[in-house]
Amino acid sequence: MHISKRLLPVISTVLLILILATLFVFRKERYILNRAVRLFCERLIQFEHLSMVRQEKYRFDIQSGYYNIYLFEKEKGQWKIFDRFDLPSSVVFAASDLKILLSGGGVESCLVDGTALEPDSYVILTFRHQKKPGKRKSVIFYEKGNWRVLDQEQEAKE
Amino acid sequence: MESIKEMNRTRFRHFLKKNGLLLILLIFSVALRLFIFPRIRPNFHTDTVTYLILSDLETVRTPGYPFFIECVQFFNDLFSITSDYLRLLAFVQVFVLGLLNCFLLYELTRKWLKSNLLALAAGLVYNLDYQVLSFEFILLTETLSVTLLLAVLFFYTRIFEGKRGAAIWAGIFSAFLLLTRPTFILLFIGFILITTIIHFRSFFKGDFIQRFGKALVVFILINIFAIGGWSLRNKIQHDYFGFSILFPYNLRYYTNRFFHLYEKGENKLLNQMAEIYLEENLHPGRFSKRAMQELHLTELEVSKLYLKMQLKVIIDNPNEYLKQIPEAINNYYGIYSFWWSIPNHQPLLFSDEPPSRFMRFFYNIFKALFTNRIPALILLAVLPLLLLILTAKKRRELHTAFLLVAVTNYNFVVSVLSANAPMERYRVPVEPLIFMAGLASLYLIFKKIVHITTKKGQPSSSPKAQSPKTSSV
Repeated sequence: MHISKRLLPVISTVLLILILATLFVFRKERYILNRAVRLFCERLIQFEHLSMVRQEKYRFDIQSGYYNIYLFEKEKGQWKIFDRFDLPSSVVFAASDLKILLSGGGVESCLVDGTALEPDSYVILTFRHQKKPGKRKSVIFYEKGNWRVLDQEQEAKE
Repeated sequence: MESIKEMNRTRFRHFLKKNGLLLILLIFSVALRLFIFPRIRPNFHTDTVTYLILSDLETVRTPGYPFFIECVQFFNDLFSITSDYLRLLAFVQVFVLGLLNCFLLYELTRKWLKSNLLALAAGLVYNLDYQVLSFEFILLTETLSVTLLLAVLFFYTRIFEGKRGAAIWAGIFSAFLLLTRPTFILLFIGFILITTIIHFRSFFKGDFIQRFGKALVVFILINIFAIGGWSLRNKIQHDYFGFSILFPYNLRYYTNRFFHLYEKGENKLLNQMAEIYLEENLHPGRFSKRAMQELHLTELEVSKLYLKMQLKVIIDNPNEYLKQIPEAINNYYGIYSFWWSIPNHQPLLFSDEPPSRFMRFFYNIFKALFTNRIPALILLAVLPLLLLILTAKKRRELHTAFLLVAVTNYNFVVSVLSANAPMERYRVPVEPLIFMAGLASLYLIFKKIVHITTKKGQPSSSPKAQSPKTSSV
């Protein structure tokens, strides 16, 4: 009885880790996709905020397997690369050449193939699993600047 | 069958008797949070940007809070719970850390002074303190720091009750705390010092080292391992062996007022940096960026030299620094506000709903306590002093009392010496402990008064009259 009481926390911790590891194995693809979308959104939130407090302009350039973040240099009047983030090897953007401009604490505009969105329209940026195209998650950007994450069901409704 | 039912009833009654007040506290805490949570949007601060993503962590930041965020988001990524990432973090802070804080305060107080009512009061006060409560929905390190600090205190005091594993848990939570809030980097040394002072005699003559020496060594080693580990990481990643601290950036709140008095010394690099700093109008962000570009330094090297630069200007002009200390003390203790929770303060404090009125009522009381000199002096100096006096005879109680008072004053000294800005936020991690100590002191005074009056009220209460021999005569 004494031994089992002492071992109880160890056993339960090991069990919990095992359950989580099993779940992780079964949901690995979903996890990687969700994480990629989450990190992208968190960076978007970060740079929205920085564009407000630092009064600077940032631009997210979406490419197939990565996205670059540019900073607008006021003195030189040109964009300079600020950072680059790769997507996990199993995840890609469904479409590329999307530019998201951030200023004043929010999304100022989105450029698809160099063209700004038309009034009251939107663009959907889809992250998808390379080997299983059915597994995907998207972020919708409205012309007025607000954006949110869509799940597959929501995406179908849109 | 009936006997089983009766047994269950007895068990239930026993459970209620033992944990009834804790249940009341938790029900009240949950109800309050159910009122709060639908009415707020998580507050996001510029500091949040710097530690939102663990892999993008700035070099001057420590990994404690980003690691906590990563753990929460791990479950979200695994189970696809929500895409409102910031709200999820606020939810965990409000409903997990907030309730854990209430529980830890309750348990710590109950085990310390053996009073369930006092423990309930300590837990309730935590919930009624808007300034502390509001940080639960602000994405900053404060709420996590409260949880970790309470956990360290809880497990550290358990070491001396002979609980196995308490030292390991105390060490782990202390390590996590210093990695979350580097101001607590020396706290574990303070704890060891206090323990040595309180158990001075048995430390050197008795069996103290034999009984607790091993546990204390484990506690110290875990802390050293955390500090050393993070310093090593900085060496590997940024070629700088040292702990990440924001101290130089905080110190500017003092030195910016007299930095124009900076005199060039023998260190050329430092002189160049001072020039850049003055050219950038004492703006740390722009200065740091330019210093990295022009002098080819890493962020941590800039931070280290920035500290040297500030210390030089302080050493050359000590009076300029010292004369600001009273203002810094007032900035630390004399402010109580809803500033950090704007715009969420509107529905929580200033609506006509009864819970909002209730919160406003206590907000005004707490504000009056901190912003008026006499109540503040009683709360911050008189009551802690009385607490130490009233627990002086019982070493176990004195030990915890001393730890509480030391933690609050340690945080006060470090915060005041490092920054002179309206930063009541720095007080938040120890504010529940200030009230816990104050309540405990009031409780012990009340107990003492009751003890004296009952003694006076009983004419035959002399030891002789009470002894069995005399009563049998």
